[in-house]
Amino acid sequence: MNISLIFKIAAVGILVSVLSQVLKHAGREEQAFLTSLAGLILVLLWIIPYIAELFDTIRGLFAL
Amino acid sequence: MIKVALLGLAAVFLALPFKSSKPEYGTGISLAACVLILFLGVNKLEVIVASLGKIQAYLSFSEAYIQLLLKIVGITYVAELASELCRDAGYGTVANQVEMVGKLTILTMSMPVLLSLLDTIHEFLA
Repeated sequence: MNISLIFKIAAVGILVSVLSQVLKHAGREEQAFLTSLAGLILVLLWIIPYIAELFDTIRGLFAL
Repeated sequence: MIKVALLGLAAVFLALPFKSSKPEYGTGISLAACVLILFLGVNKLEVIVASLGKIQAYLSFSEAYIQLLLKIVGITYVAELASELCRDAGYGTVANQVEMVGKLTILTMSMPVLLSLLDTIHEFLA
């Protein structure tokens, strides 16, 4: 629940974009696409528990 | 408050390089920043809700209206967060749909209050 989440997402984003550039220039289009897909799924896996917790807090707070 | 401001600025500056090459990470970073900022603001919100309960104790009208008011505020917040995030990602239509359904839910929830108002007026006139 701290700012390291944002830094982790940024790090994954930079790493994936560099990797996909390298793979693209090496002629491996599919691997580049798979790498960016894997990075995206990883980031989503990190964010989704926080979103669930956010909506639970709102429901509890406003008695929705 | 300083923490919230710094958190927002840090998230924006981290998300900016991703705007052109990889927009999904930019949206991910802004979503994470929104969630963190809200968690920083939640304890302030609890104080407001608690004091609202105390205020309600002084006034005589029923508990239902305060509950309804809080529900409407909650629904507005959730709808606003979702629709602004969709608009940030560039999908204005989806954002409008989310807002539309938010308004509809609020309208349906406030119908009983309207009916009770009309009933009271009807009693006065009849």
